[in-house]
Amino acid sequence: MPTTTVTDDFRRALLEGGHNFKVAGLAYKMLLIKVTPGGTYDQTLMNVGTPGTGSPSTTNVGTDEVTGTGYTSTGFALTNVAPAVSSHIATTSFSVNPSWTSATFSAIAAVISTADATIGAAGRTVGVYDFGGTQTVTAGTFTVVIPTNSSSLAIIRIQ
Amino acid sequence: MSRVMITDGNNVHPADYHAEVTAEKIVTVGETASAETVTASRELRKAIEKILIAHHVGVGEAEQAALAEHGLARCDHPLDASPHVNDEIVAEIVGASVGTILQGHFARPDVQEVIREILHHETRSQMNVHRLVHKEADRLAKNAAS
Repeated sequence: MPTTTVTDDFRRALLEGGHNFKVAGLAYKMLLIKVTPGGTYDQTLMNVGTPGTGSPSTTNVGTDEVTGTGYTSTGFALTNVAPAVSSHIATTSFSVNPSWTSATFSAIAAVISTADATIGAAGRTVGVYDFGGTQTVTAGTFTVVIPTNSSSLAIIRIQ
Repeated sequence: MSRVMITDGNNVHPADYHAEVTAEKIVTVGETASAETVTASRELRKAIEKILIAHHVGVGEAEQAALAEHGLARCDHPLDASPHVNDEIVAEIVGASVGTILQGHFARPDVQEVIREILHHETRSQMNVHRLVHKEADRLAKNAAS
């Protein structure tokens, strides 16, 4: 079962200047994890590797990525929101909920990662987000609701 | 745990579904909240959801009209929720809390700013879904014709 958390690689990379969530910063993507994955989806996931290809590990989501109609490998391109600080907690988010249309697939979690190598390698993970069980869409629209960008709820918070 | 929205049948999410999600984001209750607060929050969430149905119906109709007018070019327009998110809708939401134990909380300017941000986010997201569905329908129609 996946665990909702930012990843250890994200924590380390922050201290190395390896992320930039400004509007014109790094590009980030959200991909989806299939039901009964082979890998472990928690803070140990370091890189999404080559989604759709290869054995799942902490450096490759590989064949654990969702496949199905309406889903394109590597996932949904996110749009950054300027980071802010509230109650001594830094937060950032993304401006639109990721959606897949004409979609038929099942997923249990999402993973956010870098989508370019402007700073460091591409594919470095930011966080894993559990859906609380299998979510299935059949010839329809699947949307991941990004939580409120606040000090207690934002999808990315640094305390 | 992250919430997802699922609507089967190759279509946009209904306006009342968006209203439910937006209201849930506006009225959140901490794990240590009192029973009185939980009950008041539940009632307020329902009241706000009713207000937001009209909002999201309007957003959906406006986006469909824009797609009808501009076609696929609409998908390249900025996702700007400003025409739909104004002081009136925020005041209406805040007004729903008047007379409840949550009135003081919703009267705070910082809380109203968060409400405005949530409205912008969920409105943009609804507009985006309409565009994605339109784009996909156009692609399927072209495939069928060729």
